[in-house]
Amino acid sequence: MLHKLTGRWKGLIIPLAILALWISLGAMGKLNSTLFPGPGDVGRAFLALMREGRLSTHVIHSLQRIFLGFGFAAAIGVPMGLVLGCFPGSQVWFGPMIHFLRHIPPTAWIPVFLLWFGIGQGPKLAVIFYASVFPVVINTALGVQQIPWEYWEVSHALCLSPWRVLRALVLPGSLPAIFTGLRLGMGISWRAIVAAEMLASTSGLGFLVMSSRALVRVDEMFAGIMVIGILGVTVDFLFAFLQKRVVPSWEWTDVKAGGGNHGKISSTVGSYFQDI
Amino acid sequence: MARYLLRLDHISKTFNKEDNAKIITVLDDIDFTVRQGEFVSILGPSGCGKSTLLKIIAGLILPTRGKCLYRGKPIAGPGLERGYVFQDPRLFPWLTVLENINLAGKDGHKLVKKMKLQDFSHALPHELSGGMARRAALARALAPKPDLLLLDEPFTNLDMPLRKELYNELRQIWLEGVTCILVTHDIDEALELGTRLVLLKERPAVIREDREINSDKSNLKKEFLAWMEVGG
Repeated sequence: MLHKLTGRWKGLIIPLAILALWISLGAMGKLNSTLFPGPGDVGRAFLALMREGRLSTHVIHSLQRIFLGFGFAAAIGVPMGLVLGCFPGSQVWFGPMIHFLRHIPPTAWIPVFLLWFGIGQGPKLAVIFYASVFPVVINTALGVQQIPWEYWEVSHALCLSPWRVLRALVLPGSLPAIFTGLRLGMGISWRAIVAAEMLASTSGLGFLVMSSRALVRVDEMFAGIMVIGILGVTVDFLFAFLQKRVVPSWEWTDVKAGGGNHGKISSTVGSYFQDI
Repeated sequence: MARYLLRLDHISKTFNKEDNAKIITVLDDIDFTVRQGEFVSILGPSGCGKSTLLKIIAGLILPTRGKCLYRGKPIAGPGLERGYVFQDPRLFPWLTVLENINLAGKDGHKLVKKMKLQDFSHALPHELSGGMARRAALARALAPKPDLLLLDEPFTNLDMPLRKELYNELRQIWLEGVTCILVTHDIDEALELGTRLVLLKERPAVIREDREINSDKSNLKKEFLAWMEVGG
C-alpha cells in the first residue's frame, strides 16, 4: 500500500501519523489541555482568531515588514555581491568583515536597533535586512565566481563593454545562485522577524504568540506557530515557482562549471566565500 | 603603409610559477610575419605553447619580450579585427545560437544561414551537436567581420566527416578574403588547409621550420614528420 503512493505524497505520512497520535492522546485524556491543547482546541482558536480579524492583521503586519526589509536587502545585497564576485580582489578587503558580521545572530542586534531606530518599524526592518542581506551577498558573489573563466576570456576577445558583460554574462550566469541566495535570505528573515516581534512589537505573528503566553492561551500559541510555519512554506514555494519561471533552463555545456572567475586570482583570494 | 598584416618581432613569453618562483619560458624568440591573404598553419605538439602564441596575437596575453604589430601598430589588447575561435565552442549557455553570434556583431541572421544553422538559430547551446556548436562558435568570431581569424585547434574531438565539412566552410571564409592562422597538432589538417606551414619545437617553443605549402604535399609531410621526430 505504502509503496504505491507517489513520492510527492509520501512526505505527508509522518505529519499525518503525528496528527493521529496527537488526536488519540487527547481523546484518551493523556494530555494536559492547558499546556498541550488537542488539535480541536487549536483549530477552534485558529477559527476564533480568523473571525475576530486579529490573525489577518498580524499576518499582514509581519508580511509587510518582511517584504520591505527583504526588498532592501535584495536591492543592496545583489549589486554588492556582483561587485565582490566580479572583482575577487575586493574580497580581501570585505570578506573578513562580512564573515564576522554574518556570524552574529540578527536577534543579538535587536536591543541595539531599538535604541538606534526607536520602537516603530525601524528596528524590525533593520533586523530583517541584517538577517537576509548576507546570504544574498554571498550567494551572488559565489554565483559570479562560478562562471568559468573561459567565458570571461570570450567576452574579452569579443571586446564586450562592461555593461554588455554584465547583461550577457554576469547576470544570467549567476542568476540561479542569486535566486538561491534570495530564497535563503527570505527563509532567514522569516525566522528573524518572529523573534523581533516577540521582543519588540505590538503586532505581527511573533507578537501574537508571545502575547498569548501572558493569558496562558496555549491553543492560540499553537495556532500562531502553525500559521508561521505554513506561511513560511508558502512563501518559499512561491519563490521556487518564480525561480522556475525566471531562470531559463540552460546547462553548462563544453566548459566545466566552477572554474572560478579570473583564473588564479580567485582561487587564492576567492576562498573567503567558499566555506558556506 | 605596412608591408605585412601581422609582424611578430622576437616575441618571448615567460610565466612565473608561484610556488617555487621558477620561471617557465613558453615562447622563445618567435619571429615571423603574416601577409594579407595567407592561411598559416602553425604545427606543434600538444602543450608546446601554440595557444599562448595565438592569444598573444589576439591581444588576450601580452608578451614578456618583443613586439607584436598588426598593420604596423602594436597590439595592446583584443580587437574586433582579429577574431578568435577557441578550442571549445564556449557558447554562452543561456543565450540562443543567434544571440551568441550577435554578441559582437549584427549580421547574425546571414551567418546562421551561411553556417547552415537556420533551423537552430533559437536553440540553446546544450541542444546542439558538437559540429553545430563549432559552427556557431565560428560564426560568432566572424560576426564582427574580422580581417584575421585566429583558430585554436577548432576541430578537436570531431569525427572526419564533420571536420571535412568545417574545412570547406573555413576555406570559403578564407577565399572571401579573411587571413587565417590555424594552430593544430594534426599535420594532415595543417597541410590540407594552409598555404604556409610553421613548425614549432616544444619547450620553449621556437620556430623550427617555416615553409610555403606547394602542390607536393606528400613530400612536405614526410619532411615535416622527419623534423618532428628529430626535434621531438
